[in-house]
Amino acid sequence: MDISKTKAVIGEGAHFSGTISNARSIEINGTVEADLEAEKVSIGPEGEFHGAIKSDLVVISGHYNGEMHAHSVWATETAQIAGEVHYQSLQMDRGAALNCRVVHNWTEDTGSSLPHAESEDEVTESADAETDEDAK
Amino acid sequence: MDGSTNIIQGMVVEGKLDGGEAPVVISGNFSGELNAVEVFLEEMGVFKGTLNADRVELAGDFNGTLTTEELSVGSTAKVDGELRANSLAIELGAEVIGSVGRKS
Repeated sequence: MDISKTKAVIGEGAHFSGTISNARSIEINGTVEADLEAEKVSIGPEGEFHGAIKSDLVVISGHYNGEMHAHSVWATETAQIAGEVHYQSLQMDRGAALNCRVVHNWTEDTGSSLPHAESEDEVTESADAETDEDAK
Repeated sequence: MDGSTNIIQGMVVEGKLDGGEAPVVISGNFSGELNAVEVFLEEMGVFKGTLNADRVELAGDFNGTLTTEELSVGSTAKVDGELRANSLAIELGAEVIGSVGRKS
């Protein structure tokens, strides 16, 4: 069989429970109980996802129940979302049903860059202090 | 989309998968239990665990127990385990270690 498909898909009639890793872009059209970390997740109209999703982009056209942390979330008109959605950018089409807690500013990204910036400031300050003393 | 489940190269999937009516294509890493109608384990695919299906084509690494009606083991396949099939074909080049028997 010639398989030229390069997209990860959980097909419509499929049921999966377990863990999925290293899936950059994945399409869920079946029923999945898992925790998922990816770059792009698409839950199709017949798709059902129960579990945690951590992704850059999530497009929801089916059912989602769990805790989601994403940069961009797009709930289309057939989306049904329960649980918790942490987002930076959210689009909700008319018809989308949200029965969840929606939290803006997924801080994990800013959280990891802040300590790094602080340490850079410390290094610069101590270097400045040394040159000031040398000048005196 | 024809409804098939496609586990692409690089993906690591662990758990229990029921493929439904559509084919399951594995080019990545699957460990656990798989029940499906038709399964294609591609050349880069690695399967570890239990597989129950009606039709199976192996071209990758299989380690575990396989029960199926029709089984075709391709020349690039490496099999270590128990194969139970009613209709079996093994191509020249395939590496098969284990036991081979009938499903029913």
